[in-house]
Order: sequence, then structure tokens, then C-alpha cells
Amino acid sequence: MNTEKELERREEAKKPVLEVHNLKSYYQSRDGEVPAVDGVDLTLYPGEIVGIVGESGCGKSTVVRSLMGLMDPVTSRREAGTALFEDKDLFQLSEKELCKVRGKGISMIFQNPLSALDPVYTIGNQIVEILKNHERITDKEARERAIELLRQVNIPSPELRLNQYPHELSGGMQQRVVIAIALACNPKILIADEPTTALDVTVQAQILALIRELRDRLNIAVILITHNMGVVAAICDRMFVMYGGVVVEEGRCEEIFSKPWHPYTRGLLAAIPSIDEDKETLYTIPGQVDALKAPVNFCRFQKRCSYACSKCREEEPELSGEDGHLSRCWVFSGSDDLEQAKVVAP
Amino acid sequence: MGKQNKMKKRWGIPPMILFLMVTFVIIVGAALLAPVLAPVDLGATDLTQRLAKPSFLDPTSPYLMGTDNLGRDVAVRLLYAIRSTVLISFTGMVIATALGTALGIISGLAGGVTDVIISFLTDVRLSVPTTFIGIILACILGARPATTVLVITITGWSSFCRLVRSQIFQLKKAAFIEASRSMGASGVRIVFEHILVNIASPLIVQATMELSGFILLESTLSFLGLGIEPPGTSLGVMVSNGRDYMLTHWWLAMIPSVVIVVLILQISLVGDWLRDKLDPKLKRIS
Repeated sequence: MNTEKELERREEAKKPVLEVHNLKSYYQSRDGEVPAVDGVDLTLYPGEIVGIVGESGCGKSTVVRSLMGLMDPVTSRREAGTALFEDKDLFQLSEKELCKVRGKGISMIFQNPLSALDPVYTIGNQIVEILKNHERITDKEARERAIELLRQVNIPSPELRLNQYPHELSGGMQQRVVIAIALACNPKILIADEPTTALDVTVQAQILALIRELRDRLNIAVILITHNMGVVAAICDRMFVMYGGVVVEEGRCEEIFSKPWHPYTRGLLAAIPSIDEDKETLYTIPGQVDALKAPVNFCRFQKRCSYACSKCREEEPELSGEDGHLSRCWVFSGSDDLEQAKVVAP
Repeated sequence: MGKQNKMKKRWGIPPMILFLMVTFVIIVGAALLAPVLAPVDLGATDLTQRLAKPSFLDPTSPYLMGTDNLGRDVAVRLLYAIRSTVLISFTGMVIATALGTALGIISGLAGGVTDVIISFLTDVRLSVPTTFIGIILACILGARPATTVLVITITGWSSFCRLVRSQIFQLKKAAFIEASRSMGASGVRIVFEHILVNIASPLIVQATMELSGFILLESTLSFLGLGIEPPGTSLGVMVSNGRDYMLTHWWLAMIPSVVIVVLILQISLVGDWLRDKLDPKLKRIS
């Protein structure tokens, strides 16, 4: 009996909570469509923290905004893709149905906590608002739940905080409130869009610890968007490295950090400054992100890549690899070693 | 104790502003109660008492502010005049604010062609002189209080529309709007609970500031004979009547003029104070 339940629980854990397939999101621009996200596959299991890493403009925020249906329909368009969440395709839902998923099924926290809170309402009002939006609940119950939620995100004396306005709290406290609001309706997925970028380093560590603690306690799946490799190393289980609108490498964090395949990932890791090294200049990846136009039929990184060969300029590589460690590269795929590489760079 | 202190801090009213508010309420209150305080027939004249001196010039005179050229008590007429001026300009302000806010919200949220059209209308309205609009409407609809309200509405909505539109353009990009969308708030809810509440303070300030302008506009129109017609009266009508006796009986025009100045000054100063009080940027500093 017990083992059966245990087995059931494991089966449940293996079932992905979110399956995104071939997501394409294009922006309208004066000279054509820009493929901000160009065919992203992403699978998320309960209780795991997945990092999406990449530099500005690589499409990491567009992935989650498309998922939540938050894109501006005037300037952008979802070209293709499916996103299975609770046996429903998020992309087929009407705006009204999406409203029910947002906050209750999937919720989101943002970069700058002060601007993510409405300045004219108290903390308490804002938590009560989302509770009443999604559940039939009396004011008194909602306030009690709000206190409970604030306690859950380690805010001291939550009864007093309830009546305070956002600007009266410190940055770290504000981000905790934002997380409390996001968790109010017990979502299955928490999307964190650069949750620590606007905070100072000690507070960053506290917020990351909080996210990990909540994951452990609530078995919630987290998508963490960041450009900070240190943040990924600190709390993520798996990571996706994005470049030019596609995933160029994905896999378990320890694997990617110890054996990165894709030249872009290698560049990112090399760019992390080390305290032990005594260097005059820090490493940078040469060049800039290209402005792409759909359709793309070459490797998106080839212009900045020192290993690029003729094949890279003619055909776009597919994600390939083994054991869940995949890379989108003709030269390094399934191999971390230049000697073992399938194609030798000229 | 702590809470009381906080309330005091948030709404601490300086004595000067308190004085202005109290006197304004007394003047307007007395004016609104005019039919109760002094139930007279505005049309009734008494030519035997024509142009009596006010009691502050001639202590034997029974009339506090004298009488006008038809022998009517100026003090009583003044109450009725303030009453109609305030009622008309206040009604106009409410309608203009509502109309301007609605159009501003539509313009700001819809964007695109709708926004271009509404902005164009705003510019057109701002390029036509107010008195011109007043004259034309008075010719078409006749000089009635309702016409003055309409003139105030037509001239007043544009500044509210501009204010609301620019505020919405800023707010639309605000992270907390996207945040509450990502928490499942519907569009209607966002407009009413987040956008409207956030623009309420600048809107209240703007409405207060505009009110003094509307009082002046109402007075101007009645002065020109485009607003209230005799025997009804308003501050502008009284100034207009007194104008002919300016050299011999200066108080006839001066008293209503001073009242106009006092009312506008009170509203403007309170509005200034409100603006400083409600400005979120200043609040954050203190």
C-alpha cells in the first residue's frame, strides 16, 4: 500500500507539469519580422528549478511572456507552438480562460519589486485582491491567508506589514511580498524573470534561498530567467542557454558547468570573473548579437564563434546530444573535446 | 498614538489652508442655502430704494451692501449670484472631468487610429477660443444655465483628456500593471482598480485647478450676457450691471468682483496645496 503510493508519487513527479513545443514568437519591425523566439522546446517537471540564461535580447523573457499571453498583439505574433499545461494548450485558450491560469496555475515575479507593486494600495490589499480574484473567500479569511503567506516568505511581523505601502518596505522585503502574491493561489509553476537583478548581493542570496526553500516545501516548479551564471549555479537543477531566439545548449547544471559543449556556453562561463585569478582585463565574447531575420538557415552564433566552419554558415544545426545534455552545434555536440569533435574547425 | 501621528502627518493641514477651506465652505454654504436664508423674489424691484448706500459707507442705511439700480438688496442678490455661479461651474467641472477622463482612457488604451482621432479633437478644441464657443452656443441654444454648463464641458474636457492620456501611456508600461495581468486580473479590473486609482490624485488636482477657471468662464459669459438672463443673477451679471455706475456707485461692481477674486484665490491655493500633498513623488521623499 505504502509502496504503491510512493510509486504513484514518483510517477506523478515524472509527468511534466509544462511541455512547450516549437514555440515561435516574432516581433514586427520596420524591415520584416524578427524571430525573437524561434522554435524553443522546454519541458518542466514538478519541483525542479530550471534556469534560462542568455544575454539581453536572446529571447528569454519573450519565451515566458508568450507562455503567459502577455505579449502585445500589435507588435508581436506567435508564429507556432504548443504549450501543454494541465492537459490544456495554453496557446489555444481564450483571454478569459488565460486569466484563470495566470496567478492560479502559473504566476510570475519580476525584476524590480517596487515597480511590480501598485503604489496606491497596501501590501494587504494587493494580496487580498488576487485571492478574491481567484477564489470565493471572505475578506477576513483573505486577510488571514495574507498574513500566513507573508509569514511563509519570512517577513517578520506580517500583521503590521499588511497595512504598509510598498514604498515603506526595503527592496528585499518588497521582493518577498511579490513572491507572496505570486504564491497566493498555490500555483504549479513560478516564473521568475530576473528576480534578483535589482537587489543587492546579500539580499540576492536571501531571495534565492527563499525560492529554493519554497520549491522544497511546496514542490513548485520554477523557471528562473537570468543573465547571471552565478545565480544558475546557486539554485538551478537544469538550465537552458539561449542565443538568438533558440536554445543552444540544455542539460543538468553540473554537467554544463563542468563540460560545456557549445562555444557560446563556453564563452559565458569564461566570462565569469574569478577571485583567484589576477587578470587585467576580463574575458568577453567578441562581436554583438546579430539582428536576425526569419527564416534563419545558418548557425546563429557563427559570426562570433572562433570554431565556425563552412557548414555553420550554410545550415542551422539541430539540438543533439545524449542523456538530456543537448547542444546546437556542428562542431561540439556530444563532445567537449576539440580532438573528438565531429568536424574539425578550419 | 502611532496611528494618530501618522494620520496627522498625512493630512496635516496648515492653518492658512484650513482658513481658506473654512471660509470657502461658509461662503458657498450660505450661497447654496440662499433660498432658505433669504426667500425673496429675484424679479421684485423697489424703485424708491434705488441705489441706496451700503451700511459700511452710510451707517444709517438698512442695506448691508446697498441696493442696485432697481432697488434690490445687493447682499441678497450676491448670495443668489454665488449660488448660480458655483452650481453651474461645479456641474460643468464634474461633466467635463468625466467626459475628459473617459476619452483619455479610450485614447490611451486603444492607441492607434482612435488615439489619433481623439488627440486631433483635443487640438482642435484647444485652438478655438472659449468665448467664441460660448457666443456660438448661446446664439444657437439661448442664454440659459444649461448652455453655460455645456460651454464649460466643451471647453474643459480637453485638458482632462490630455492629462489622463499621458498618465495612461506611462502607466501602461508600468511593471505593476503587467504584474497584475500576470496574476490573472482582467482588463476591466485593471482599468478600474489600478489605472483609475493611480490617476485619481492628478485628476483631483487638475479638477480643482480647472474649477477656478470655470468660475471665471461662467462670470465672463454672464458678464457678456451669454449666461444667466435677468431676473436670475450670477456674479458676472452683477458686475455687468454695476459697470454703468462704476464712477458714482463703485461698490455695485466691486463687491461681486472681489467675491470672484476671493473664490478663485481660495480654490487655487487649496489646489496648489492638494497638488503638493497628493504628488506621489513628494510623498515618497517625506
